[in-house]
Amino acid sequence: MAAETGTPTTLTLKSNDDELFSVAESAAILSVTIRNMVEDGCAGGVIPLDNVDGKTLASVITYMNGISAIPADEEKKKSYRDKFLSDKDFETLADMVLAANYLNMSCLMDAVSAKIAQVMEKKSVGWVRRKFGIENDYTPEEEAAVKEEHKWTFEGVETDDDN
Amino acid sequence: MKRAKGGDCSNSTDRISDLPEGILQRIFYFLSQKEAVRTSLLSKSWRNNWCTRPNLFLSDATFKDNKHEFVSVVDNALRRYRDQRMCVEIFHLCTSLDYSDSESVTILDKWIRAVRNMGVKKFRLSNFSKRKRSRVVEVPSGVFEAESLQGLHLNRFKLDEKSIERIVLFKHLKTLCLVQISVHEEVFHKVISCCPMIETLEVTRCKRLKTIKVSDLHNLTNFTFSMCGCPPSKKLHTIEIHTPSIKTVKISEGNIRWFHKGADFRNLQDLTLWGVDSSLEHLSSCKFPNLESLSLLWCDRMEEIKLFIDAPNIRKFDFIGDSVPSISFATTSSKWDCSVIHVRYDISDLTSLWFLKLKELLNCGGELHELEVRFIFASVSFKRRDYYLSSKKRRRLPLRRERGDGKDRVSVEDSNAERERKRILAVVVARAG
Repeated sequence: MAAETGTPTTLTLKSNDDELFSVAESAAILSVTIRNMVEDGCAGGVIPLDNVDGKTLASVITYMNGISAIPADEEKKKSYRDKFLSDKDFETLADMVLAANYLNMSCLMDAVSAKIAQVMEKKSVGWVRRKFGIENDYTPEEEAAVKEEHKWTFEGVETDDDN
Repeated sequence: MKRAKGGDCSNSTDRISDLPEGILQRIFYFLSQKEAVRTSLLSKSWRNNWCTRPNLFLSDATFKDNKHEFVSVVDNALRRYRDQRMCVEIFHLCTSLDYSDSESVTILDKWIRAVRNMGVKKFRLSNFSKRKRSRVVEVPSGVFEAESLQGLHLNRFKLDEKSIERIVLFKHLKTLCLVQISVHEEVFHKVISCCPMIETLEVTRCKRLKTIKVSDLHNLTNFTFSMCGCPPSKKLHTIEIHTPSIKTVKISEGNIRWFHKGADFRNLQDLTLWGVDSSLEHLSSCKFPNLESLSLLWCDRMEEIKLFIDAPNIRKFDFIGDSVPSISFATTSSKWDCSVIHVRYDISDLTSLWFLKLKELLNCGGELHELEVRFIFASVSFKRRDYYLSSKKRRRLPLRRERGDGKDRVSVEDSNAERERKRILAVVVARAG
């Protein structure tokens, strides 16, 4: 993206817990939110990111730097994303997907969403509830009714005896 | 959205239920239809969450013999999207219709009209009927009225005048895939003339389509043509493509006339010809200023000719065949990626001429930095279709494995062949030295 000057620019991002981060503009503009600020000329000082904490922002910046260093090769980018997300727990993934949503970074948002979907895949309802701490607030009758309504989706899936 | 109270059994808070709808939609996007619908049982707040996913993928195979239930599931799903004024971006429908199912065709048309009104962008319609191809049903005409389409993928249908009688101009259509479509040239070209923005075109096993003229598609960058698995008699095809825009061409099987003498493939980067029966002599007269990768796999008529490829930027040349090819490159490129050359041979082939040709080949493009040369002893029987390069390479080849051909893959790496290969390599090294 062509800024006013041709030299590489560094932006300063501030997390909601007041940590400051420097990041190359070329990497930071992966975020459409930041890119818009840059284009509108309001990225001169410190860019406050009110919805992202320092720990998550550090992680997002690692991703920005990593992915922007890879040339236009979708396969390599994908394997970078897979590796980047491979050791993240769900808490971190949830923080990242919220940050990606706020920063409007569709590639990161898709990668994290796909990762979360992958965790849910082929798992029983009880397992997903336990894994994500979802409380079952159906009465047994209601639950049976929902199950009946979509009974085709439960074929070939292990039934749960818990909850 | 309601937060689950962590008091009684769980010590982690329920963050997933609290994610904004936009994010949940993305998560649902990556789940299969079945998995997505099943989340309705998680808790009350999840009951209708999945309903907002922008992609609908429904297959009557899931319903085995209960077509009636399938119809009502699709009807209900579409009604809900319509009532809540939601978009269906991707609609993927697999059915097993045949000619006797005129009622089903009417239902299909009704569904297509419904998603058309929801601004569908990618539409994939597959028919897995076991009936003979002559009995397949025609594409419902509603498909060709869906102006918003960006991608259209049709598998195993008949495409005739009736299907396109009210065809609109597809201003956004960038991808068109026709797989096992029974279509005549006039109808095909009429469709193409209504899709001026196509970037990716795939024509696979459309036997009746003998001529493909797509020179007017000025945005066409990827072209895939395959007659894999069709009898040889049906394989003479003429293809005319717009050479300046094209970046990737993959042609598998068939006897094809597809480029003019002296054509200038200005942007072509990747050319794969697999099992092409026609003479490739014309390649020597064409210009490939940006070609980076050339793959000639099982092209029988390579034996007869000497090829000279004008490709200054070539970095990779892959070859599989029954004889050592005569090929050289006009190139200034010194950076070659790993290339693969596999040659099948018989003991009687191993004359000094054979080794001479091999030596020439190995010197063909200046410095080959990384090269995998493999010799396959002719007595090792295998079907060509089953013998590809590495699994990584296989993904990039435009090949479709025939389903249910029953025969197991024969490994060319069986111990006999391996021993033979080592012996031959030792001979080559000795001779080259």
